[in-house]
Amino acid sequence: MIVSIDIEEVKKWIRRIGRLALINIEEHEEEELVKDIIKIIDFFNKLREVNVDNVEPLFMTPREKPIIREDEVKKGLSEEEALMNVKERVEGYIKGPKTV
Amino acid sequence: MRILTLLDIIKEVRNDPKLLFEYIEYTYDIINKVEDKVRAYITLRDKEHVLRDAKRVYDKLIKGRAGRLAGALIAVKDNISTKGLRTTCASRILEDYVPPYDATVIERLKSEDAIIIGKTNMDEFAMGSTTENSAFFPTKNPWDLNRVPGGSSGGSATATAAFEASAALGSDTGGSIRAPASFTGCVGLKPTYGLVSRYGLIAYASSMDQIGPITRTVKDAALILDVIAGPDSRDATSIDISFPKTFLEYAEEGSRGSVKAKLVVIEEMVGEGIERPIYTSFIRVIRHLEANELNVTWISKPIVKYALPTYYIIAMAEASSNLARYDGLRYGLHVGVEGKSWYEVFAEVRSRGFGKEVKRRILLGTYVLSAGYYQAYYLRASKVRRLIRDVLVSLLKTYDCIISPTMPVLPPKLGERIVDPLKLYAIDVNTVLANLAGIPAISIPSDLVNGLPVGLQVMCDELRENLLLKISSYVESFLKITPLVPPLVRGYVI
Repeated sequence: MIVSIDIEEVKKWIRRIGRLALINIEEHEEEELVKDIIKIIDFFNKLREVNVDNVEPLFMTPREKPIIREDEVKKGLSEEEALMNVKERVEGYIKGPKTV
Repeated sequence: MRILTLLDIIKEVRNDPKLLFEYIEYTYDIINKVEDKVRAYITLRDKEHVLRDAKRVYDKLIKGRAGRLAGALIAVKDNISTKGLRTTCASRILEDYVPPYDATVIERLKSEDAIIIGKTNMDEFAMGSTTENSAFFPTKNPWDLNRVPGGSSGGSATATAAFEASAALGSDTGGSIRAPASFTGCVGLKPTYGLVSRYGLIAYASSMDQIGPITRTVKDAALILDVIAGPDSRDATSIDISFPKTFLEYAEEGSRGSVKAKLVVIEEMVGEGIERPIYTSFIRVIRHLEANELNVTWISKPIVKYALPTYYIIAMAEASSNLARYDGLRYGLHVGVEGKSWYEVFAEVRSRGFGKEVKRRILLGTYVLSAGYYQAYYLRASKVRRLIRDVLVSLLKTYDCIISPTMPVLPPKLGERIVDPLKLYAIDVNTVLANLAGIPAISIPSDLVNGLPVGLQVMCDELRENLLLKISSYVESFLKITPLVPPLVRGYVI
C-alpha cells in the first residue's frame, strides 16, 4: 500500500513515465491525473494479498501448436496502398518532420 | 417480411431475393428514425453503395449460388479493419485512417455474401465499458436514452438492438462484447482465445482480445461464429480445430429440447457490488434453470476477487506497448510541428490524438512495466492470472459451465460511472475472468427489470463452444424473451 503519498513525488514520476511513453502532461490535467493514478495503483496493490510463491506467470493462454506459415514470397500491398494514409510523401518515401 | 432475427432475414431473402432491396430500404428507414437519438454509427455507408453490393448478392441468390449470410447487413465495430472504409477506433489519432486491407473476419463475412452497413461507435481503442469514452460522441441505450449502452462495443450492440443492422461484430478484451449485449438486450459471444483470427483487429491487449458476434438470438450468434471462426496463417495464435457439427446445429439442438447439464455459480461473482435487482433477477432465473433439469451448485472461489486488478494491470501493460506505434507518420493524426526535438514532436502528436482514458492507461501500463515495478505489478498479475485460470479450468472439469449475471448493475445513467475510473472498472468484475483464462463466454438476455434488459453470462471450458451454444440456446428456449425489441423501435419492427 502507498502509506504516505507525496503528491510532488508522484507528479515527478508521472512526468518521467510520460517521457517514456511520449505523452505530455498538461498542467491543467495534472492534478486530476495524479489523483486518479494514486487511486488506481492502490487498487492494483490489492494483489499483494495473494501468495504467488512458486507460481509460473501466465502471459497468454497456452497453445500446443501455433499456426506458423511457410516463409514464401507473396504479393503484399502495392506501394500506393501502403502509403495511402501518409500525409507527406516524396517520391515514394514518407517525409518525416524536421527535428532538432 | 419477418426481420426479427438474422436467420429470419436470410430465409426470407433466399425464398424471395427481391426482398433484399426491400429489407435494405426498411433498415435505412429505421436508421433515419432512430440514429439521431442513439448514435450507434461513426461511419454509415451510403444506401446507394449498399444497394450496389446488394445487386451482386441478388444475382447470386437468383442463380442459387449465394453464401450463408446473403441478406445480412452487418454493423462492424470501428476497430476492425475494413478495406477502403474509414476505421477510427473512435480516436482522434485515427480519425481519417482508411485501411488498405480487410481483417480476416471481414473477408470471411464478405465471402458468405454479408454486406457491411457501417462502422460502429466504441470507447476509444476499446478502453471503457460504457461507450462514453469515444472521442466523437457517446452512444445511447435504445431502451432508455438517458442510459449508456455498455461498452466498449456499444455502437455494435445498439445497432443490433435497434434494428439498424441484422447483427454486428464486436471485440472483447475484458467484456466489451458481453457488457453492451447485456445492457441492450442482445446476445454477445466472446469465443475461446484463438478461435477467431485477430488479423486486422486494431490491438488493445493482444493476449486477451477476441472478435465475436452481437446478435438478437443465440442461433444468430452461432451462425456468425460458423463463418468467422477458423485458423488463419496471419494470426499465429489462431487455432486449427474442427467440430463435428456446425455451431448453428449445436444451437438448434439446444433449442429443440431437453439438455441435461451441471452448472455452477461462483459465490464471489454475486457478492459485494452487485445491485439488489440484479441479484433477485438472477435467483429467479436459477429457479427457471432448475425447473428445466439444469442442476445448479454454489461454490466459493476467493481468488476470483483478484480478477479485476489482475486484468487491469495486464490490459494496461499490453496497451502501452501496442499503442507505441501511433506517431502520426505512416498514418493518423498529422500535427505539422517541426523544428523541435524528436521527443517533442511525437509527444505532441500523441497528446493531441489520444483521449484522457487512453493516456491514463498508457501511463499506468508504462509504469507497471518499468524497471523496479515490473515484478511488483506486471509479473505478479501474470502469476495471479495463472491461479485464476487454473481454478476456472479445474472447476470446468467437474461442471459444464459457470453462470453469473453478466453485469453487476443495471445500465448506468450517462455520466454516472465515467467520473471515477474505479467505479467504471468495477462493472467489468464478472466479464474479465473469461479473457484472463482464454475461455469462451456468452451473455444472453435473461430478464427485463424496470424495463431494462438484464443478461445471464455462461462460461465453458476452452474450445467447448459446441456445449456453450447448446446450453445457452436451450436456456433461451425456455426463458422465451428473445428476440427483444426496445420500445423505441417497436412500432417499426412488429
